[in-house]
Amino acid sequence: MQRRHFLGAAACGLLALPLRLSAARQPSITMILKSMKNEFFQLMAEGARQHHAAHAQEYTLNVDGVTEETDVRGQEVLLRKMLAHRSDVLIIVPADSTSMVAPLLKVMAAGTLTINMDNKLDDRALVSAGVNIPFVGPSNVAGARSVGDYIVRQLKPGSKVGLIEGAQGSINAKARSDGYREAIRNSGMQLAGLRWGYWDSARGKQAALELLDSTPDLAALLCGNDNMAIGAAQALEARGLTGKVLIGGYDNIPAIRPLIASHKVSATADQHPGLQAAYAIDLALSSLRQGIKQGDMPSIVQTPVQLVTKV
Amino acid sequence: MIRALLANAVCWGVATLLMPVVAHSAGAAPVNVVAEEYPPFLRSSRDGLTGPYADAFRLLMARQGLTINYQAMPVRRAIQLVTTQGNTCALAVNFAPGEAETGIYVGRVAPITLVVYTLSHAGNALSNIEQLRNHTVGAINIAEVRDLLGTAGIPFIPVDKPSLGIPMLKAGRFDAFISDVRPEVQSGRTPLLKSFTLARVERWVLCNAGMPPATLSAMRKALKEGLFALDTQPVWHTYAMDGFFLDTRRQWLQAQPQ
Repeated sequence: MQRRHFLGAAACGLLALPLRLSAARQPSITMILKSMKNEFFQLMAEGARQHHAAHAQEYTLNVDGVTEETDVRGQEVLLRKMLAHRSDVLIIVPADSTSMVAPLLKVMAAGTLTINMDNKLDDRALVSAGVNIPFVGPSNVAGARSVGDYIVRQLKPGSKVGLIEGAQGSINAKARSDGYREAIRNSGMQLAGLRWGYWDSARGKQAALELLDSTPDLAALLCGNDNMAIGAAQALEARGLTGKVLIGGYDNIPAIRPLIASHKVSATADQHPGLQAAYAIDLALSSLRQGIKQGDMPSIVQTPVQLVTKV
Repeated sequence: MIRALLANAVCWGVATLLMPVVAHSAGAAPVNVVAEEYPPFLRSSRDGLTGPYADAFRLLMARQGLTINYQAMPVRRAIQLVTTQGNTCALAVNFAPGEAETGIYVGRVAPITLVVYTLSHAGNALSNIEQLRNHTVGAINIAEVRDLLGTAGIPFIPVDKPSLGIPMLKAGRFDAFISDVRPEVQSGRTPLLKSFTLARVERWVLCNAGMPPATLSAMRKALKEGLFALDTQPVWHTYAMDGFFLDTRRQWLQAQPQ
């Protein structure tokens, strides 16, 4: 199903691209990301720039972002800046799934077509606001479940597994934890505990240390992103447990690849950030070209996610 | 003059009421709606589903020109069907962040109260979440419970089939059970103690991601007050649940964010 959605969306996007937009001027697209220090979002920005380079005649692109993962205030400042420049389209990876909804309502009220990417806005807040903001991104549950399944297959029955979740206000953080929980339950393992690593390696390390100390016979740590998995690997080194506790990550950023190669991290999931950016831009361009309004845009465009291991 | 204006207003009102019906009835296929039994609100029947939720939902959708085909099934299968089959929605499901990435939560249908139950003779005087820490806790496996207990660092045994929770509590599998199931429906003679209310959350309609925007828009409009819109009062009356309907309207709708 996921593949079918992806291919369907791809076909729509590719059909849309060769056609010139009918507007007299080029439409402008602003992309606002979070955590520009995270390689994942650098790859996403790069994907957007590559798309633009291939279609420079069709639109103008401005990519911006905040440095920290949960910097809601910083994103609000960027939104005000964007409103002053009157962008036609906003594509945003929200720093928080709920508190970013209110500032986005102002953006939509100004007539800017708004698209949500990667970290889904909370449907509960969207329903309360009575708006449709399309989501372009993967199923984080499916991605995390595939990483979790791979790790738990290597454990003895009944082993204890700890979770390191991203941030409490993020839908994708919770979705990944749910995917990991499914893998743990389906295999008969035990969930030993959950800590928050706030997407960051230093805080991921701290979370891993807490879990290792509270559960001495912990067999695996499943992390909501690769930065926290890197922190977990550092925690294992600090406790002399490298190789004895398995680690799962998420995102397949370049920094995780040496750890996958050396088996310090067993698996991660690649959700192709560059492709996500390209799909969001394609959705924006095809909507503008066809004059589709915010409320009539497709609510979900699913993008691919795949398991990455050394083997 | 006034009479003419009134006549005009009436005509306009009728036209406005009929507009969505005309818009949706022309060739619109019935929406497949799947749900798990949730007594006394949803029960399986010869026609698929009955009960105040099913009847009120059908009524509200009909006002928007949408026809409904009901089918009863376990909630896991219902959600799987929603993600794989077009023109399908699941009625009265709990919110889950992962499902929100592959399906569309169209609207709230009803509030639910998550209550911590213990056996009244067990002597567990529980009054807050912290006190659960030293007990064996069972709970319905929904995102809000996972969130609340996960944040507090309280381990629990997830129960996928809510109807099994109270029997498991009675059998001594847990010291406390967290559920939204009304205990009078299934507690029998065993005295249950409602220790404290953990949270108030909501049940939703979840639809397939490929649902046409016009249909979604009509459903959103119909569900502005969930299944407790004034229009649905006769439905609740037929199930002798007028009091419940009015209480819920007063407490839930007034508390909802505008």
